[in-house]
Order: sequence, then structure tokens, then C-alpha cells
Amino acid sequence: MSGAAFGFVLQRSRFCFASAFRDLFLLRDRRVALGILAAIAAGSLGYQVVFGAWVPDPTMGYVPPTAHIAPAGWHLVLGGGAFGLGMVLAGGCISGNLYRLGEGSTTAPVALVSAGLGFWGGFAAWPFLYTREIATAPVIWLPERFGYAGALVLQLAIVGALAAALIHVLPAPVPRPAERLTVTSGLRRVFVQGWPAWMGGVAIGVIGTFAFLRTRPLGVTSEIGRYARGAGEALGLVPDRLEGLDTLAGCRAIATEALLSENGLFVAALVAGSFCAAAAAGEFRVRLGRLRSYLLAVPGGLLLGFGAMISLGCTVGTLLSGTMAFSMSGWVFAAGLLGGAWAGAALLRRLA
Amino acid sequence: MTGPNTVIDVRGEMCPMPSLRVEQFLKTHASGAPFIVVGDHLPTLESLELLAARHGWSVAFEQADDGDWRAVFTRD
Repeated sequence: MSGAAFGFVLQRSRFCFASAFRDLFLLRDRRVALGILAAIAAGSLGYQVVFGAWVPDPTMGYVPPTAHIAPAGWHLVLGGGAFGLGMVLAGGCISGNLYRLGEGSTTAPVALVSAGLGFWGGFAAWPFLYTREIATAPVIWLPERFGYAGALVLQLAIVGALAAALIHVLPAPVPRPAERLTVTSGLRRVFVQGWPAWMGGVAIGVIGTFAFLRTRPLGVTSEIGRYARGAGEALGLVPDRLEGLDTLAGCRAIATEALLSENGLFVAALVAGSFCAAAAAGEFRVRLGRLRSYLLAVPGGLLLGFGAMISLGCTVGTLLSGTMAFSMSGWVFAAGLLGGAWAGAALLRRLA
Repeated sequence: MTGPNTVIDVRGEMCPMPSLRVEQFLKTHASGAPFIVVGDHLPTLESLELLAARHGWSVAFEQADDGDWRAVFTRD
């Protein structure tokens, strides 16, 4: 359910993490980035309610184990940087390529298969990163340090300051002509026209909270990682034992026998939800790309997979589900993404 | 074909290439004659609106039956 809803919202609001970060630099466009901040703000409020019900006193040293609260270290700057560069080159992050698959893209599968291979690189680097950094990096859960009220105030202040900075530094988008809202025009807006990014953001914050409450935090990479791990082990390319991986919170690649895990269903539902949204709006068709798009999708995908593996998640599992859970790891990853997207934007400007 | 005879074809280009190519064109296109952009990725339109407004152009969109769109740029 949450997968289908997530896919539908992503497709309708064009909620693209790649463009959110990239277009800050390339087009000086702030709209999608503000949508992400709206998602984080809405999700923080929702998570706060869920946390409050489960852990009455957050300062006692008990951190909710299912939330994506992970060690915050320099590996996330590296992972975020690789992921940020990768998503700009591949034209979308992992969830972006999944929803584009639902729209009929033919470059998306190239990027996704490359991402699977990129996971192997992440697995290969894991033992080094784990012993050097991840094992000893601090797990910082803001409510543990500041209490719930303090953490929420701090987090909303960070989101507000970033939003204010974007609004101040980047020029205003084009004003839209006002249109009278009726029942039919309202339905048309939801199903046919694109949504404004902030509305998609709030919807994603709500979906994220429900997913966390009912099953697990939103995340898209653990299934891809699981397949990559299984295939890599069969080929002898991935070590059987990945030190520490199974003890950490996030989108881990857990080896199980099932063909489709819960996360696999979520990913399949995401693609299906996006397909339904695109089909309802008359946007579905098999789309051929130019050679350059495919050529960029390969290195882009490899970087996406590598970054998502060492960061234990992508723009959804680590950025959204991490920040919404008041984990410092989400914010460190965000800083890496920003740097990577800046480098990617500079590279694409040369290619255009 | 009637109408503007400069056509920028961005079909099959992935974001952000369509926007970058149109921006480059806007920066070098001094004559102010109308031109058309043809593409197939709808999210691009939002960026084109932004670019048009920023460079002093108006843009009108038409949807073709095969799913492609045409954006007609005219100087304000």
C-alpha cells in the first residue's frame, strides 16, 4: 500500500531528488528542494508522535531500533557524495529511476542494473570503512540529547533556516495564473496535472510516518542490495560475512531465501503505483533515450549503488527516513549529496 | 510547415539536458524570432517556464497525440 501511494505521489509531484539538488546549481530553481524540506518537516511531526507513544523518555539511552538511526561519520559524506554525483549523471536517484521505469523509460533499467553492480563496489569497500569509521562513529539521535521538544524545535529550525536561505538566495519561480477550483478541476489537478512539489512533500511526510508506524521506515535499496549480495556471493565476488552490517539500522542487504521480501513488494508496488499514475494521466509509453543518456546511466548507476550501500540507504532510506527520525546521519548524508550534486552539475554543464 | 522555423529537438534527452540546451540557445539567440522546442519528458516544461520568464520570453505548450509536446517561445 505505502509503496503504491509513494509511487503515485512521486510520479504526480515529479518528486525528483536529483533535480532538487542539481537544479539549485544548474537552473537556480528552488522548488523541488523546498518540497524535500516540506517532506522532512511533515515527517518529523509524524515520527515525533510515533516515537512519543513508543519511547516515553528518549533520554534514557534507548534508541528505537527499527527507525533509520545510524552512525554519523565521514563515510556518509563519501556515500552521499557518490550518490549525489551518481543521481545527477543518471538523471535520477534510485527511487527516481524506479518511478521512471513505471513511466516506460528505457534508460532507467540501465541505471538500476548498474546500481546493482555498484553495490558490489560498496560491499568490497565495507570492511575497510567499517573498521576505520562506521564501527566507532557516534549514533546521534537528537531527542536523546535534547528531549523531544528540544529536538523538534531544533529540527524545524534547521529546516526553516534552510528554506529561508533557499528563498533568499534563489529567485522566485514563475507565478501561475490563478484558476478557480471546482470539483472537476480539483480531480484533474490530482490525477492529470502535476502537483506542486511542496504538496508532494507533505504527502510523502505522511506516507513516511504511516510506513514507519505500520511496518518499516520508507526505503528502497535493501531489496536491490539483497539481490546484489546474493548474486555476488554466488559468483564469489562478495564476502560471506560483512562485519557489523547486520547490526546497524538502515536499508541493509539481508540475505534471505524469500524471492521477494517486504521491501521487494514495496519496490514492486512503487513501480506499479507510478505506472498507474502515469497511465491515468496519459503519460505512459516506452521512451527511447539518446545514446548519451544510456552512457551516463552506467557510471551514474554504479555511483548510486556504491553510495547507497556504504550509506545504508539512498535519498529515501537515509535522507528522508533518517532526518524524519531525528538522526544526525540523515543530515550528514544530505551534506554529501549537496557536494556530489554540485560536482555533477558542473560536469553536465560541460557536456551540454 | 508554417510558423517559427527554428526547432530545438530535445526528444530522448534526459534531464537536465533539455533545459541546458534551451538556456544556451536563449543566451545566444539575439534576433528574438519565435522558436519551438520539441520534447517528450513532461517535467522539463516547468523548467522551460522558468527559463522563459527569466529571459523575457513567453512560452505556450501544445500536447501532441503521440505524447510529445511542443513549446512555442515568443519574445515578450
